[in-house]
Amino acid sequence: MLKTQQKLIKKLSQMEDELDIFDYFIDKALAGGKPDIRKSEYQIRGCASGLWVKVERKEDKLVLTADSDSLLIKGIALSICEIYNGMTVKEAKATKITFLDGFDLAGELNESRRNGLSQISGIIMKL
Amino acid sequence: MMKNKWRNDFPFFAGNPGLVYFDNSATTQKPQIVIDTLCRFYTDENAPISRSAYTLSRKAEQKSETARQIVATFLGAKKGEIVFTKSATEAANIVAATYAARRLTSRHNIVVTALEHNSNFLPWRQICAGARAELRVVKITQEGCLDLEDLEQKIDDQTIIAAVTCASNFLGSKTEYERVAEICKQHRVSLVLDAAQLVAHQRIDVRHINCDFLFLSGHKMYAPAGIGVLYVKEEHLVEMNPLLVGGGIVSGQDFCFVENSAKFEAGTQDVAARLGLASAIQYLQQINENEVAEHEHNLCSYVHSGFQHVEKYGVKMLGNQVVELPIFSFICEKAHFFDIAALLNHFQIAVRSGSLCAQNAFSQMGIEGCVRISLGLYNTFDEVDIFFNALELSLRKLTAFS
Ligand SMILES: Cc1ncc(COP(=O)(O)O)c(C=O)c1O
Repeated sequence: MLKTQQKLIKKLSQMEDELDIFDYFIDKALAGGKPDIRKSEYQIRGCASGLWVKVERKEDKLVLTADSDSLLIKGIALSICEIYNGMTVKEAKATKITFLDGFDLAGELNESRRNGLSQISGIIMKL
Repeated sequence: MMKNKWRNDFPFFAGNPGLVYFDNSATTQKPQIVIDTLCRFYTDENAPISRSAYTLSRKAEQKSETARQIVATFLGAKKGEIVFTKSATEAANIVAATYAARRLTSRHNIVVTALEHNSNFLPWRQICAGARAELRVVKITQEGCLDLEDLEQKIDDQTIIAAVTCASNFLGSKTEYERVAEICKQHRVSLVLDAAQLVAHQRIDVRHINCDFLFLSGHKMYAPAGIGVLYVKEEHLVEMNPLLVGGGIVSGQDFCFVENSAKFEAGTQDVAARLGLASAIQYLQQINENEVAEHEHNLCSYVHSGFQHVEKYGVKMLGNQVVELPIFSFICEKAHFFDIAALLNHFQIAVRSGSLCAQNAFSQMGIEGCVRISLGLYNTFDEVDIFFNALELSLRKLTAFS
């Protein structure tokens, strides 16, 4: 069985147009609803678009939720959350988020937003 | 298709077919004659301007001084009043640190406007904090113009500096800087003008305005990056000590600063960039100024009408509806500015998004960021069409479910 991240990488690589990738993340963001996590304790500092991430543990498994003003950032953040969700902390720490490396969102994601997104992994590493 | 008299002067567009470059307020592309100047300098003419005896160095020095004269004539200043800096940012910092800070005490105040780019705000904020002096920020009106009444109220006899932009970097509105200069004169306040956005579009004459300082950045007016200009009114030159000290600014054994504007230019200077700036100015002087103004004015009207078609998506232009420079910022109630800019990038349209280094104005307007398009003389009506088509597609996508 493919792991969540591998499935995502496969799905993204099958998309012909970068616009489809945008659509994918936008749809994901819209499906993510409006979690009640826009609080300063969950806010990721240093991301140029507002980004909030809540990390919980339920029976040793991670449960992450994310929200952002930007649909694109929210979609990507939720994808990162999905990868970690259900993992133990140990498993999560051993997981590198690589799905963004595969395709060219570099133009869209400037340094501060990349940094903001990578802080989600930073939170995991500090657990 | 993309007919524009000047576009072919800029090789960038041949190298980037299909790209709509609408980020000219951040930096402009360079005409071939500027690129040729840089190439020629580094191919045949490169030498330091170190007052050396050898011919090449003397030639470089002569060319550099000719460049200074060209800048001076362009601004209506005397050659000795022109300081070459790295950028507008450096120029503002020089005035703040070497002219204003010396006079500033806790009973004084400095007046800036909410329209300022951070480069003409933070240097003043910093010295005010250091001296425990008051920093007064003049409001902008609902239309996005400078509130002159508020300015008149804020300037008083304890004001030592008014730092005012000639044109907003995100609203496209000009400030009534001539009127501002009169008000400053009445109160004997030194006026610092930021002409960084204005000069790519319009001429300005420091003598006519009677300002004390004025600065600009070359890269925003078709010149290379790394070169800026600070105009210092002659009478202030003597009392100002350099911010940076180092080679080339002292004479004799007693380390006396040289008396001209070169005292602000310590260290080995970027001669190529100076020559590039002079070439860009000559380029702007050679092409027909009125034709450019007319073209940009027509582009403005065209962009304006384009925005009416996207109002249905909740797009709202910021500021004055009578835009004076081809700079437009907008927000969309239903879509985040970053998402809009990211999608526009997908359509090969280069725009700027965020708070545009103008947090003061944004907090006054109660918004976090926007999308800005800023056009230059080489942009075309076709590009405006392409932009609005792409914007509409992007907005449809982003607002489909809202
Ligand atoms: C109005 C204004 N002033 C000053 C600056 C600073 O210019 P630079 O970054 O080249 O120093 C900018 C840059 O965007 C600007 O728009």
